[in-house]
Amino acid sequence: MANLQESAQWEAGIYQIETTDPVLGGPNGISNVQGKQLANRTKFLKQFADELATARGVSATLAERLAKYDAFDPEGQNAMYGAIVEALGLAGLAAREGQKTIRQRMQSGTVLIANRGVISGCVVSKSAGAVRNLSLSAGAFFFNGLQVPCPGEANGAIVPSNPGAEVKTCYAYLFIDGLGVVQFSTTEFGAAVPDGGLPLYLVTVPAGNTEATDPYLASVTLSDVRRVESGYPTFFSSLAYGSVALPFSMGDSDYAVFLEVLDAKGGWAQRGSVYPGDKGANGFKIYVEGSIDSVSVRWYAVKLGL
Amino acid sequence: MIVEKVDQAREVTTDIQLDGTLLSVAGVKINLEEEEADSQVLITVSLHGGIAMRQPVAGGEYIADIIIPPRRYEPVDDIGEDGEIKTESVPLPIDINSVVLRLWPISAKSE
Repeated sequence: MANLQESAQWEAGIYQIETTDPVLGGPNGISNVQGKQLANRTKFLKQFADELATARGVSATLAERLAKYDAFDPEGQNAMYGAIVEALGLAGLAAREGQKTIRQRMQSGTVLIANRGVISGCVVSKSAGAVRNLSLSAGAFFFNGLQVPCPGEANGAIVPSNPGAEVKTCYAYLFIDGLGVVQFSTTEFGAAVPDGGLPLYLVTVPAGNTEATDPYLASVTLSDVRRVESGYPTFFSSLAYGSVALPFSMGDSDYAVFLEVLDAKGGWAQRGSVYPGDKGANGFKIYVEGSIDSVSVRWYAVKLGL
Repeated sequence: MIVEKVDQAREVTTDIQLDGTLLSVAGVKINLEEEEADSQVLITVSLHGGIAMRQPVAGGEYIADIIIPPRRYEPVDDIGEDGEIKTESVPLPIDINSVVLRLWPISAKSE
């Protein structure tokens, strides 16, 4: 015994067995036509029913499942998309504003202000007796918040030779060594005076100026760069100051500056006022009124409306 | 002249020319010899609306500070009509090498 071969197709009609039809079995027998057609319809409908059951999912009915999608109709979806875009935009703006507040509206940094100079004497001259030497006259200077006597020193610093083809410069300067002794020295060509030094003179050495060509520095120029404050510590003819270049422009000078003195050499009674001034869009200055030295200042420049 | 930068890490493109004692900073001309005085002189050149000017910086942007040290004097003995030696202080010519030109960077514009 065999089963009829079914195919999932919708039969337009069911064959009516006529009185003249002989009884005939087999896969294509006339007596099996009706059953085959009904079986085809059943298979077709079963496939359709399975598809709908899958679409219904865990909902009780397909209608219930579809009702859930009604909440995200095209307008709803557009609104939801718009809300997401706006939220991302606002989040980005908040991040940018946060960065701008940290970097531009509230700028900060530190600056080191040297407040040292000569009270009297400390004049540098060329030595007449020692080859390529400088001498220092006696005097007094202020340094690290102290008045320091300068004993002077003959032939105390050497001017380097310049065998090259270009003019070079160095500085003659004072410093106090680890034993508390005043030392007189010169820098290397092109070098700045070290942080712990007090610049006295800029020494300009012509090209080809050496021990052989100019042993007593006749062609070397000494330029006085001393900061002379004969009224120290009660009166300064020019206050020490530090310059602060702002990374970002404030647009104008309408901003606030807050200062914090982190460290200084000298007693706190010598501090006096440390204050900002001369504000420009791209920077300002910090003045030291007292007699402290090596003043390390943390600054904050604030303009919330930027 | 000692040329310094306020911020070593940032580039400065200010046009500077020195002819004798005449200094030109971004087109602003300053005669250093005429400006020298008995106390330190601080001259500020700043940018206002894109134009360089020699005036206080308020509202503008710094371009440069020019610091001219106090005038130096030299004692010179002079014999008066009565034969007495009198010592007078004679001003020395300005030493351009002692003048400090401190250059400011232009800050980035606010974003």
